[in-house]
Amino acid sequence: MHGVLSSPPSERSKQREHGPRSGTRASQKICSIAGRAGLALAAIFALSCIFATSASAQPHRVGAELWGQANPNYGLIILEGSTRKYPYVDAEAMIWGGIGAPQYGFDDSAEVQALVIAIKVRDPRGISDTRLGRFILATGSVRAMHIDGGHITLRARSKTHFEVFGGVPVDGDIEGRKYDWMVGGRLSQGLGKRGVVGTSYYNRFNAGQRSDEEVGGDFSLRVAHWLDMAAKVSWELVNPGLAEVLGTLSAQTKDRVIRGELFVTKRSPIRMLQATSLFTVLGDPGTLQTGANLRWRAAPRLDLWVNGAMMNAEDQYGWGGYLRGVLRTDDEGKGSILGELRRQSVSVSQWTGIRLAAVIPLYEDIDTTLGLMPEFEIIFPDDPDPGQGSVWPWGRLALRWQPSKSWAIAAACEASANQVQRYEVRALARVSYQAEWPKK
Amino acid sequence: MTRRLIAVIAFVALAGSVGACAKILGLEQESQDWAFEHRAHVLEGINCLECHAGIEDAGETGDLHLPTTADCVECHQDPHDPNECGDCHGRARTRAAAATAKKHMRFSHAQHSEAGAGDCVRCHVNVTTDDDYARTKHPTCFSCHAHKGQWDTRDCDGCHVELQAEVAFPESHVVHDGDFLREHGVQAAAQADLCTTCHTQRQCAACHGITVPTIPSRLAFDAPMRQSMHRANFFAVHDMQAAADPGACVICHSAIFCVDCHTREGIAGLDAARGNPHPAGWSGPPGTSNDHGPAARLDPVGCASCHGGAGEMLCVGCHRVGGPGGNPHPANFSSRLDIINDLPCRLCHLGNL
Repeated sequence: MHGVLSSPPSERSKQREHGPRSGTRASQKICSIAGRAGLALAAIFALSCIFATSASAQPHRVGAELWGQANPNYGLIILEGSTRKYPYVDAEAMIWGGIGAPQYGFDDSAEVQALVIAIKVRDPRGISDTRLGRFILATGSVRAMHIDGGHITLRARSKTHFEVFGGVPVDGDIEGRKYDWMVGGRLSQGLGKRGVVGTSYYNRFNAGQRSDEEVGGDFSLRVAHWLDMAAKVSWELVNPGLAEVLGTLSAQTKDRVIRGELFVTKRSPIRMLQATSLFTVLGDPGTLQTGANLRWRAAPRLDLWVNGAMMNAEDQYGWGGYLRGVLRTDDEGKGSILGELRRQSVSVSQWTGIRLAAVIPLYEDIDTTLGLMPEFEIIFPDDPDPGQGSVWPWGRLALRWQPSKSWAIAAACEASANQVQRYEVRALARVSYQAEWPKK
Repeated sequence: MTRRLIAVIAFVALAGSVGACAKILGLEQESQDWAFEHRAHVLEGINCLECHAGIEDAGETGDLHLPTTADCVECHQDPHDPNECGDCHGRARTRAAAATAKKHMRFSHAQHSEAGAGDCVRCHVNVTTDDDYARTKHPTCFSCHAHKGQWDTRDCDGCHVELQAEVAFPESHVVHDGDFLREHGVQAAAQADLCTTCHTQRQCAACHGITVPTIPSRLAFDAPMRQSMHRANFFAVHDMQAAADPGACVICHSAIFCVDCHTREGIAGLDAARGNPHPAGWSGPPGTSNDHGPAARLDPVGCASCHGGAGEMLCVGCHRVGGPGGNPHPANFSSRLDIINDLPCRLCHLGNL
C-alpha cells in the first residue's frame, strides 16, 4: 500500500555503460563456462557424498528458502548447498529465482541468478589452493569484487604468499556497471604471530580500455595481546591519486570489559568511478572520516558503545556519531534489547535518528523456539524540503517460529513514512529449511 | 510513625529495585551452578581417571566421560543434597562446550594419553585453577605438534570439523568485538584466508555480491540485532548518506542503479515531467547563471549518479567546439589520454579530428 504510485520503467534502465567492444561476448563465454562448472560442481558434490562417510567428515549441507513480500509483490526461492572433502576440495553454491517488483531491479518476468558457484581445490600440504567459479574476490587492497574467474594462492615455507587472480566482474542486471575483465596479484609476507604485510595490484578493463588500475599496500598486526592494528592503501594509476585509505587501531583490556578503537577512512570516489566516465575529469569530492569508537561492558548483560567521527565531504567539515546500548535479557543472550541515538551533521546530511529493537523469546524447548522481534526507527531531518514531512518513522514487527532445527518460519509487517512515501505498509514472510548429513 | 513507614517502604522499594537491576544486568548470577572444584581434587591427588573413567581410550566420537552422581558418591558418601551433583557442581554451559568440542574436533584422547604418559594436566592446564573451562588452547596444541604449520596455512580442517558451526571466535579480538561493519574490511584485507576458515563465500556475497536477490536486512527481517550497511530505515536517509560519503556508495553502486529507481519513482531521473531536480538557472545559454558548471566541479559524483555512462553525451552535446557550451579545453590544455581510443576524447574527436 503506497501513498505515491510508481511510474513505468524507463528506457534508460536498459542503457549500459558499454561501448561497442563490451564484455558481452566474454559474459556469454562465462555463462557457458559457468554451466560446465555447475555440472562439475554437482559431480564433485556427488563424489564427496559417496566418499565422505567417516564419523568425522565435514557434513554436507543443503538448504532452501522461500521469501516473499507483499506491496510491492516480490517472491524469491533460494537454494544453497555446500560440501567438503577434506583436505582436497570444498564446494558451495547459492542460486535464486525471483519474480516481482521492478523497484528491485527485476522485470515483471521471472529471473534466475547465481550468487555463488565456487569450488576450492587445495593441495593437501597447504602449499596452494585454487578457487574457481563465481565468488567474492577480496584480498589486500583490492576492494571486494564479485567475479567469474579464479584465484590461486601459493605459500612458501618462509610464510611468503603469492596470489594471482582474474576473471570477468559479474554483470548484475540490477547494477548496470559492466567490465570486460580484470586481473591482478598480491604478494604478502607473514610475520609469525605478529601479522601480515602485503602489496597488491589489479586492473579492470571496460569497453576495451583500462578502467581502473590500482596498486596498494596492506598490513594487519597484533603488536601485543591487547593491541591490534590494520590498514590498507590503494593508489589509482589511470587517474593518479589516492583511491582509498582505511586504517584501524584497537586496544582492549585483558578481561575485554573495555575496547577502544581509532579509525580513519579516506575515499576518493572519482577514482572509484570508471575512468572512462567523463565526470572523472571534473574534480573529486573526496570524503574523510576519522574518529574513535569505545565499547564498555558495563555489566555482564549490558554493552554500551559510543562512537564519534570528524567528517569531511565536499570540502565541508562536520561530524557524526552514535550512542548505543544492548541489554541481553538472559545469560545466553537469546533475548536482547537495543537502543541507539545517532546524529550526522556534514554537508547536506543533517539528521538525528533514534532506533529501538528487541528480540523477545516467547517459547523455547529443546528444538522449538518462538520469538517476537519489534524494531522501530525514527529520523528527524534538520531541514526537510517542503512537502517531505518533518519526521520519518519506520517500524517492523516480526514473528519467528522454529519448529525444529531444520525448519524456520517467519513473518513480519512493516510500516513507514519518509520523504518519498507519505505512508507505506508491507508484509514479509519466509520459510526456510536446512539439512545436513552425516551427523557426527 | 508515618515517616518511619514511608522510610521502610522506600528502603524496601530501593532494595527491590537494586535487586531487580542486578538481576537484569546479570550482576546476580541467574543459575545456581558453579565452576567445578577441579583444583581441590588435583591438590588431593585424585587421579583424573577416577572420575573420568575410560577417557584414556576415547576416540573422536562417543561418550564425554563426565562423572555421574554415582561416581561422586563413591567418595562423597554423605552428600549434602538429594539432587544430582552436576546440578550445582560444574556449569551446564561448560558441559555444553565439551559436547560442542566433541562434535567439532578431530581429537582422540586415546592417541594423546599415550604420548602424554597419562599426564592430563599437561594439556588441561586450567584444571589447576578454579576455572572449569578445561578445553586446551591453541598454544598448548602447537607446543607439541606440527599443528603450527597447519595454522600458518589455515588448515583448520585438520583438527576442526565445521569450524563455522562451532562458532569459535578467534582468540585475538581483531574484529568481532568492535564495529564489525566498518572494521571487517580492513582487517580482512591482509588476512582474508584467516576469515575464510569460518566464513563462507555465501556470507561475503550476501552483501558484496552484485547478484544479491535483495539486501540482507530485508532477507533476514527477523534479525534486528544484525548489523547491516543498509539498515532497515536506510531508505529515509540514503540521499543524505550519499552526499556525506559518496565513496562508500560507488564501491558497489553505479549511475544506472540510482537513475533506474529515481525514474521509476518519478523523482528526477529522466522523466522530467515528473520532477526535474535542478532549479531554474541551472543551465542555459552563455551569459546566464549556468549554476550547473560550478556544481558539477564541486560534486561530479552527484552528477554521475544520474548522468553517468551514456549521460556523458549530455555534457559533450554542449561542451564541444562549435557547441553552445564552447570549447571545453582551457588554455594550455594537455592530456595524456589517447585522443583516438580513450573516452571521453573519442566522443568528439572522431577520426582524430
